[in-house]
Formats: sequence, structure tokens, C-alpha cells
Amino acid sequence: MEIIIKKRVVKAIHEGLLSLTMLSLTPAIAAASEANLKIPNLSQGQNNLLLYGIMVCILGMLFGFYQFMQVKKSGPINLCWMWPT
Amino acid sequence: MLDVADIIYETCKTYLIQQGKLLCILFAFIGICIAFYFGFLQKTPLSGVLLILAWTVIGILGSYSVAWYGIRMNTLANSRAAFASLETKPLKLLNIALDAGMSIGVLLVCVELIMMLIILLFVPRELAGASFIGFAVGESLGASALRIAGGIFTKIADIGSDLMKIAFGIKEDDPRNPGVIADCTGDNAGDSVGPTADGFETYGVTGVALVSFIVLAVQPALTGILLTWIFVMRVLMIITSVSSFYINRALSQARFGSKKDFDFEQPLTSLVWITSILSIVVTFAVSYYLLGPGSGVPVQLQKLWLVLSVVISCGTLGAALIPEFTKIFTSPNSRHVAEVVKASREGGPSLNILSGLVAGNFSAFWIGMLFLALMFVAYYASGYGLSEIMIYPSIFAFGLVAFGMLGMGPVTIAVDSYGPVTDNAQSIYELSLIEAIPNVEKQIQKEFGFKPDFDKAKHYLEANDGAGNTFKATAKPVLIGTAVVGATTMIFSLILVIKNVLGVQPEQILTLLNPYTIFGLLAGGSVIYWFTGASTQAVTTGAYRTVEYIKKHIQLDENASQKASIEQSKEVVKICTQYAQQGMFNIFIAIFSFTLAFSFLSAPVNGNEPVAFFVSYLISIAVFGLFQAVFMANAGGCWDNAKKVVEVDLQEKGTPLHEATIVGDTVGDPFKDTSSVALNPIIKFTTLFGLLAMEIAISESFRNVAPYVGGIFLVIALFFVWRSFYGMRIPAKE
Repeated sequence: MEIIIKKRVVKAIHEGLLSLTMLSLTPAIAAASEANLKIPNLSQGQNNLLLYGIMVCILGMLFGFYQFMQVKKSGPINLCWMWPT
Repeated sequence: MLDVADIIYETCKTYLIQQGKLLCILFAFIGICIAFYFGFLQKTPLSGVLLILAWTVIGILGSYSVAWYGIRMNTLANSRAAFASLETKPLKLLNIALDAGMSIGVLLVCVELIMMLIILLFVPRELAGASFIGFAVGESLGASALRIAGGIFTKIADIGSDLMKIAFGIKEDDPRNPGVIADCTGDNAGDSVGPTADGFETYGVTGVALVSFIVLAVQPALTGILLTWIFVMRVLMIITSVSSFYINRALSQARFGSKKDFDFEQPLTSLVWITSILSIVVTFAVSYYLLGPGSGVPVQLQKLWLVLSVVISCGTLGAALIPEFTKIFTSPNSRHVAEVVKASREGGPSLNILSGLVAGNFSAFWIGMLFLALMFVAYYASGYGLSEIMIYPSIFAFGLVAFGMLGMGPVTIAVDSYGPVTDNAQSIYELSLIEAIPNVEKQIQKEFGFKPDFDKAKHYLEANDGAGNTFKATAKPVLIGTAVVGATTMIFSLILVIKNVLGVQPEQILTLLNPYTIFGLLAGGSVIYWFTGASTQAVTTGAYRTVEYIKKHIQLDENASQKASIEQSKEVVKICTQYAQQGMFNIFIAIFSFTLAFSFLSAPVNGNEPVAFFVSYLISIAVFGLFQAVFMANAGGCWDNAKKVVEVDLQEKGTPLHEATIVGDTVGDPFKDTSSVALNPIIKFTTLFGLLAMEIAISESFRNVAPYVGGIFLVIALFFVWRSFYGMRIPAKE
């Protein structure tokens, strides 16, 4: 089955590449559009505020790991003896 | 119990690694498009293109790694919860599952925000916008793939093991049924990975939608202030969620700490409401502090803090109201669920299915109305002065509603992740055969210092599973809602891009008088219905193979071992993986090709009218998707809990009534956990990737050939649509 999937993947990639080769043959006219999202420069104060934000997020991650350990601790470590042989 | 949990984790690992490989292939497709647009059409220097691609990879890795974390957390929590049930302390049981959910919810939101803040603060300005888009496309790709494949996987296994209950009259989670372990793996691979990857993506994409709208539509002098405000709010929402969690923990301890029996839904409901109220308070306070009088921002912005807070609060309130509405249709205590049970008593499976469809349809009506009301209030509020600082203020307001809904993101994900833990805990308990061990009571008493109560334990686990079902159901419409509301904002960013590039007034082309608008609406509806069919077909064929395999191999003789067979279980997992990946691959390539096809076919070759085609296609999949997803999710939830009522409240297992409800539940399985939930990332992926595709299509150097290339992609898409049924049929008997 995996081989079949692989074959299909290869086929699909070929199809994709084919169409992209066609794309790249199109004449290139330099025309940078105005479409880009221009993210503004932030002021020093805004920057600092958001840096604090990153710190809060790191604390949040620590909370996540703390909860992880809580759950891990909440049960007996080894229950293998419960599995009947 | 730990043993069983280990097997489940191992099979999950194998599955996730295979998924990772497939993600690499999908990335190749997207990566080529991104490189083509930025490198070739936009003439971004190579280093810039590489940076954008790097952010796309980070996005995919983000979705993938939070999914991994979610699975690890769940597989730890499930065995702990199963063991805790023996202790006759129901609150402890509840807390383990909720701790696990909170851990996942908070962690993923933090990871998300850190990445977005890094882009906002440290990436060079000319690349930051593109990096945001690249990052969001990556996340969305990862989440869609994980959601679709996981959804198919879990339901193949679930249906496969459920149908054995009817075929052989065995009970739920009977270890002799090789489908049970696969079902547990599926609960993790689908129901746990789903909300984690999906939540991660939803959070990111809605953020990017707002960022791009602010940048494109707001007066340039104010964009920095509004961006800072948005991000500070998001950071503070982490603090409100964690605080609410602890407040709720203390309250539950006081209310239920000493009780032997209580309704497991209550602490979860109160958590949602406490978070919602606290978030609203914080929204007003922070907006006043950052934007209100005395904050030093330009005067025209100062009077808007109230409007902005009201709009966001619509969303936050929505995130608490939508679960209440959903419960009307899916809670075990609801009239609709009672109606389904009643209908099946005399009418069997057929009336059960009809009655469930009724619940789904009614829920789509009411939840649709709720969205209408919330968005109308937001629109009304946006009329008070927002137009002074931006164009199309009501669209911005819609985006803020989605933002408000996600304000309590960590808690929404926590209650959603609660379900898979409790579901697994129940299965693990049964699989461990703990009661059959001689002298187990004394042994537990000696080692852990308490006397186990097996009857109570089973009761707790079952009741807890019911609560898990309900809350799993309630989180779905919230996530789907944010997809739709957020997509609206994203679509309008696209419209603004079109306006800037083509220099047309959007009002002139985006009208119902333009035939292309109508064409787009039709195309969107078609794709949503195909998607539903294709994902369900993958489940149907996969389940067929599973049932066939299990029927051949199940050992029910009296002398046969009562234990689960590891080898056979792994074989079932393999079947599920195979069909999940095959189905996902067909679906994903088709969605990807449709996006490129429709956007390229909308290229403005002779006049600008065709542009409306793709825009209305996006609107259409969002609207059709919302209703289809809500309908399917709630109908499925209703069938599921109807079965639960028969098993737990009526104690009528093994009767014709029970069989009728099992049939309904198997119909509902792909409804609620495959098709409906995958629509959310699909809508967002199409919208985000569509933004990129449309930019390619309208760029001057490409637009003239675009329709031809679009035609080729349409053929590829149609081929994969064809394959998603004709290549996935049930094989004929040899």
C-alpha cells in the first residue's frame, strides 16, 4: 500500500512540477505590486510593552509544563503489575 | 493501566511520524508557490524568500509539535484519570483531565504568541508582512492535514469497534475486540490532535487576518498603536484564562470537594463563564488604559476605546453563549436528545437518524441566528466613529468579534481536550481488566492506601465521558465560528489588495449584478459538499476494511485469552492510517488545486469583472461551511449522547433500543469528528492561501497566462475529486 501511495505522490509531484515549469516560462516583467503588507515601525514604548508580552508568554509556557508535571505526578509511576499475565 | 496507555502512545507515535512525512510533501507544493510569488513575481531577494519560507516551515512545525505535545499530555492523563476513578474522589478525576486540557491550551497559545511577537518585533519591516502570511499558511497547512487525516483515522477505528457491539453482542471496550486500542489511538490522533492543531492555527490565522486588515485599512499613523493594543490584549488573555482556571478550581473544591456524586458538566460550565466575564472586564480595562482618554494616543482614537471593547465583548460573550446553545441540542439532559431516544424506541434506527438530523438542522438555524445577532451588534457599534480612522469599519468589527471569541482560547481548548482524556480513561479501565486480578483490592489498599470501589469507578468514568462528549461538541461551533468570522476579515484584506493593485473600486465589481459573483457562490457550495462526501467516503471504506478484518480475527471462545491482542490491534491501526492518509492526500491536493484554479481563472484579462469570482467563492465556502459544519457537528453530538443516555441513564445495553442508538452514533461519527471539524482549517487554508494565489493571479506579468494555468489546475482538481470517490471505493470481494 505504501508503494502505491508513493507512486501516487510521485505522480502528483510530477503533475505539480509540470504546471510550475509552465509558469516559469511566462515572460517576466518586473512589477512589484503595492500588495505587500507594510508592517509599521513600533515606537520604543510599544516595543518594550510587547517584550514584556513575550515574557508573559514564557511564564505561560512554564505554567503549561507545570501542569504537565502535576498530571504526571498524580498517578502511580508503575502499574505494570496490574496487567494480568 | 499504564501498559495499555503505553501501547496507545506508541501507536500514536508511529502515526504522527507518518503524518510528518506527508506534511513534508505537502510543504513542497506550498513552498513552490510561495517562492514563485515572492521570488519571481515580487523580486524579493533570495534571503528574503528563504526567510518567508522559514516562517512557513516554523508554522507547520508549530502545528505539528503542539499536536505532539497534546498527544503526550493526553496519554499521560488518561491512565492517571482511570486510576483516580478507583479512589471515589470524583473531583480529583475531573481535575486531572482539566489540568491536562489547560496545559495544552495555555502552552499552545503562548507558543503561538511568542512566534507572532518575534515576527512583529524582530523581522525586518519589508519582510514582516510576508512572514506573517507565510507563517499562517504553514500553520494552516499543518492543521488542515492533521485535522483531516486524524478525523478520518479516529472514526474508522471508532465505527469499526462500535459495529462489533452489534455484530457479536459484546460490550463497549471489550479487550478481545482488536478495534478498541485503535479506537483509543484514534481518540488521540483525531480528537486530541484536532483541537490542538486547529486551535493553534485558528489563533494564528485570526491574528494575521486582523494584522493585515489593520495594516491595509487603517490610517498609517495609527497602525502601530492598534497593533500593539491587539497584541497586549492577546497576552493578557493568557493571564485571565489562568486566573479563571484557579478561581474555578477553588470554587469547585468548595462546592464539590467532599461530594461523592455531582454533575461533571457544572465545573466546566462555570469555568467557561468565569473566563468569559473576566475577559470582558479585562478588555474594557486594558482598552481604556491603552487607548482611552489620558493614554496619549491621537485624539480621534481616544473616544473609540469603548466601541472597540464592546465589539470584542460580543465575541467573548459569543464564546460563552455558543456552548449554551449547543447544549440545547447535544447535552444528555436536552429535549432533542430525549426525542432521539424516544424516536428510536419504536422506530428503530431509521427514526433515530431522522430525529438526529432534525436536531442538527435546528441547531444550525439557532446558531446561525446567534452569529447574525452578534455580528449585527458589532456592526452597529462600529457605526460610532470607527469610520474616521479606517475604511470598511464593519468588516474590522467582524474580525474583532472572532478575536473576542478567541480571547478565552486556552479555556476553549482545555474543555475541548477534556473529552479525549475521559474517553480514553474509560477504555483503559476496561482494557486493564483490573477487577479480574485476584486480591487486587488488598494490593491497592497496601500500596496506595485506599480501598477501590469498582462500581463507583465505572459510573464516574461513564458520566465523565458524557460530560466530555458535550464539551467536545460545544467547542466545535466556537472554532468554526471564528473560522468564518475571521475569514470574512481575511477576504476583505484580499479585496483591499485587489483595490490597490488593479485600482478599481471594490463596490463596482463585487456586486450581485456581476455574473461572476453568482458563479463564485455556486462553486463554493459545490466544493463544501464534495469535501463532506469525500471525507465521509474515506471513513466508510476504511471502516469497511476494519470491520472485515476484525470479524475475521476476533476470538470470542471461552478458552481464548481475555486480553487485547497487540498484534491485531496494530494491524487495525495500520488499516486506519492507510485510509486516513490516502483520503487526506486526495482531499488536500484537490483543495489546493481548486484554490489555484479558481483564483487564476479570476485573473482580470479583459476587464475586471472575473475578479469577483474568487472573492465570492471564498465567501461562499465560509457561509456554506459554517452551516454544514454546525449542522453536522450537532447532529453527531446528539446521536452520541442519545446512545450515552441509553447506556448510562436507562441501563438498556444490548436491547434493540441500544442497537438503534449505536447505528445513529456510527452515522454521527464522521459527521461530528471528520467532516465538520475539518471544515474549519479548510476554510482558513483556502482563504489564506487564496490571498497569495490571488496576488499571483492579478500581478501584471502573470495575469494574461493565468486563465490557462488555472484551467490546468482545474483539471488536476477535478481528477482528484474523481479519485476521492472512484479511487476509494470498497474493494469487490475476491
